[in-house]
Amino acid sequence: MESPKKSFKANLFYKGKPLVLNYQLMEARLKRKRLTPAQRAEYNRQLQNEGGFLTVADREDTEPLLINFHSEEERYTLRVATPGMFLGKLLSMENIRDGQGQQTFEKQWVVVDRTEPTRFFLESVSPGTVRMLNVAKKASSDNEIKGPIYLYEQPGRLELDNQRYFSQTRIEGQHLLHDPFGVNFDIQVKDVPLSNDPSD
Amino acid sequence: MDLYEDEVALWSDFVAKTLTKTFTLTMPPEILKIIADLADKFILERRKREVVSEDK
Repeated sequence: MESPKKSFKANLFYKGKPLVLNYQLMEARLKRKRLTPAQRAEYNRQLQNEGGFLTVADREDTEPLLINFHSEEERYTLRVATPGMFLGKLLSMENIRDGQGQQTFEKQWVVVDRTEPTRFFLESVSPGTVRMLNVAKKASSDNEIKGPIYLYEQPGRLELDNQRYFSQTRIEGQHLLHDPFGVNFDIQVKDVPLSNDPSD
Repeated sequence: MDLYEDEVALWSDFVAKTLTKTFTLTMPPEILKIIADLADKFILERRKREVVSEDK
């Protein structure tokens, strides 16, 4: 697959499982039968309050997040194209407050409203697989391609429900289950919009 | 944690097998609670797997 030069919509997969926003993951978990009261309460809590970070689905048949890749001179900005809570919002690497109220050291791949999101460069690893390298934000007028995306895994509030999220930095944190490592994504292009309007 | 009827056999089997493998008479009785909690978590993991019947 050649590097895509124009805007398109696509799904991303990590080792066969679709990337979704956390609210989609919680909705899927709430549909499971035989949830304990603690599980139901925690999934509802995350659905209300922590729905906006990008994570990996539990099941391979979960509906993946549809992402609009908008190209500006081969640097892509990402927007949510799945109808629902976060339609139209940008996906960017941002410092956020974690569940304890502390500013996280590493940035997380989350939905934001601001106008200067993280930009990405898609490097084709093999047909259907890309490495998404992050580029500095446009405001700094720095076009240098930096590093890959790292997968983090930390324990959630329930013992068997770890939270997986992505960052552009590699920092070994105290509450991680394993060292973060750079990941490649499998990409499935869904369709190419006719115009380059990013709000499509 | 509450168990469904079809999970009882699995839970009891897990506890019995773990006890025969690990239990010695010098262990404190708290080991029973530890193994029972472990069996609860095992059932929670079992519930995450969906069972599909083969379509012919």
